[in-house]
Amino acid sequence: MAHEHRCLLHYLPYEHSGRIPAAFIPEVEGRGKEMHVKDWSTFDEHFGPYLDGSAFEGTKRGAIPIPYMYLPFNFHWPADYVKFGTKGYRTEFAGIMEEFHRHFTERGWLRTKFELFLNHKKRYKLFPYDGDETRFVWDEKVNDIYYDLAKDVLEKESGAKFVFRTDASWSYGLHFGKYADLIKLWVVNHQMFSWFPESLDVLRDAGCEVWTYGSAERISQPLLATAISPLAAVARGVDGFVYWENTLWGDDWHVTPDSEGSTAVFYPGDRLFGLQEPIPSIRLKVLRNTMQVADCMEQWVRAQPDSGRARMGEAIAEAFGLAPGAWWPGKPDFLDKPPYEWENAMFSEAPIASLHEGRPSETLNDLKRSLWGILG
Amino acid sequence: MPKTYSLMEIARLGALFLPGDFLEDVMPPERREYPLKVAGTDSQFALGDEVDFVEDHFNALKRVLLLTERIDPLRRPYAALWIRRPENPALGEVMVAGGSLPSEGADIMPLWPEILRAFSGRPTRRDRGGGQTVYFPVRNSDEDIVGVLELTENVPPLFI
Repeated sequence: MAHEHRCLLHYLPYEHSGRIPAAFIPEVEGRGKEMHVKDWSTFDEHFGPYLDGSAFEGTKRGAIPIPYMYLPFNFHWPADYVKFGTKGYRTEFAGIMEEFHRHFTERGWLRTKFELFLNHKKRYKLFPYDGDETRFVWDEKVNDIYYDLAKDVLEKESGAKFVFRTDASWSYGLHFGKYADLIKLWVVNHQMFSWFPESLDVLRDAGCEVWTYGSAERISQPLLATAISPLAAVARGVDGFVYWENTLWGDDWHVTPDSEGSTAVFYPGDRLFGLQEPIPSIRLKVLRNTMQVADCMEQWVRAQPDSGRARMGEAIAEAFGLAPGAWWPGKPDFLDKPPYEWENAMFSEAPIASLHEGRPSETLNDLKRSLWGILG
Repeated sequence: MPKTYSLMEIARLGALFLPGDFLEDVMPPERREYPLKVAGTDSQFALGDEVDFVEDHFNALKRVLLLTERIDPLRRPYAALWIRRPENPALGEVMVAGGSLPSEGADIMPLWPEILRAFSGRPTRRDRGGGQTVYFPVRNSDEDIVGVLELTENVPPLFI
C-alpha cells in the first residue's frame, strides 16, 4: 500500500534496548573473532522480495525495490555492548557489517540504500548517549565512534550502498558542517531545518541527501495542509520528508484516531471492512496526488539550469499567497546558547514557516494549472 | 542436573560487582535534580529531554547488569538499577537498565512496598503471577544504600 502511494514504510527493526526480532536479522553465531553469520535464509525470505522488487509485481508502480532500508545495527547488535570501547566490539561490529555488504552485493540488492541509524535515546535509561536527536553536544561522539567502526563499508565505492544516517534536531546547527563528510543521509526536524537555509549547500557539496521530518497533519486540518510537505520539499530543495511516527492509530481509531491522526495515515482494514490489509486515509490519497505533482516539478527543475528551483518556488509561493522566502522564516535568537540550555518556552517564540494557514482548498488546483503552464 | 541459582542469589552476586559510587553519581551534578528544570510542565517528553549521564559511570554499571543477567545460563532475567528521587524520595525511577527495561518503564513513579523494603536494606522477593522479581540493595563505598538492583524473570519487559 505504501509503495502504491509513493511512500516508503520505513520500519526500524530494533527496540531501544537493541533487541531485534529473529525475522529481522540473519542468524549470527560465535563471539569475538569467531562471530559470523550462520544462516541468511530467514532474512532473505523476509526482505529479499522488497529488495529485488518482486514484492511489488502486479502493482501500478511496478516491481521497484524499496529505495531505503534501515540496517539492524545498533549499540547492542551485533556487537555485545558489554564490550563497548574494546577491540572485541570493533571486531564484532565491523565483521558482521562486512558480511552484510558482501551478502547484499552477491544478492544484487544494489538499488536500495541501507542505513546505519542509531535511534537510541538516553531518556529510556538503556544507554548513556542519544544517537538520535542529540541535545547534549558531548553525545556527538557516537557519530565518530560508529563511523569509525563502519567506515570500511561506508566508504566502499562498489557493491551495495550503505550510508550513515542521522536524525537531527537540537544540534543540527552545530552538526551539519562538522559531520557532512561522515553522515550522508540527514533527516532534520522541519522547523529547525528552516532556521538554517545555509546548511543545504554545505550538505549538497558533501554529497549528502536531506529529508525533513515531522508529523502527519491532523484530521482537523484542511487537506491542503497535507499537500504542503511535498511542495515545501521542492521549494527548499530537499530530497524527501518523513512522518515520524506513523503506526499509532490507537485502539479506537474507527471513532477517533490517536493524536487526531497525526501519527497514522493508514489504518487496519479488518475492523470495519474485514480486509486483512491496511487501508489508506484520505490524507494519504492527497499526499500521493501531491507527490505526483512534486515529482513533475522536481523532474523539470533538474532539467533546467540553476534557476529552475527558484522558478518552482515562485510558482508555489504565488499559488499559496506566500511572501518570497517564506520557506526560511529566520533564526531564533537563542541559537547562541548550546542546545542543552534551550527551554521549551523558547520554542513558542521561535520562527516557524506557516505555509497553508487560511488558504482555500482550491489553492492546490491553482498550483497545478500554473505548473502545467510552466511544463508546457 | 546442572546447578541453577535462585534469582536472589544471582542478584547478590551481581551486586558484589556494582560500583555504588557510580550509581550515586551516574548523572552530572547539575542534572541530579533534573525534574526541577521542567517543573512547570507535565510533559513526560520534556522531562526526558533533561536526562544526561556520566558515560563512564553509566557504562560501567550497564556492563555489570548485562553480565549479571548471564550468571546463570539456565535463566534469562533482566536487570535494572532503581534510585529514589533526591528531590522527592517517595518517588523513584530506573536509572540504568540492562538488556531490557522493567515492565514499569523508565518514568519517575511512586515506589511500592517491596522495593521500598529493599531500599531500607532488606533484599526482597516479589512473586508476580508466573514470574518473579527480586530487589537487592546497592551500597556506595560509604555503605550507604544508593539504589536497588532489580532482577526479573518471566514478566514481559517494557516494549519500547
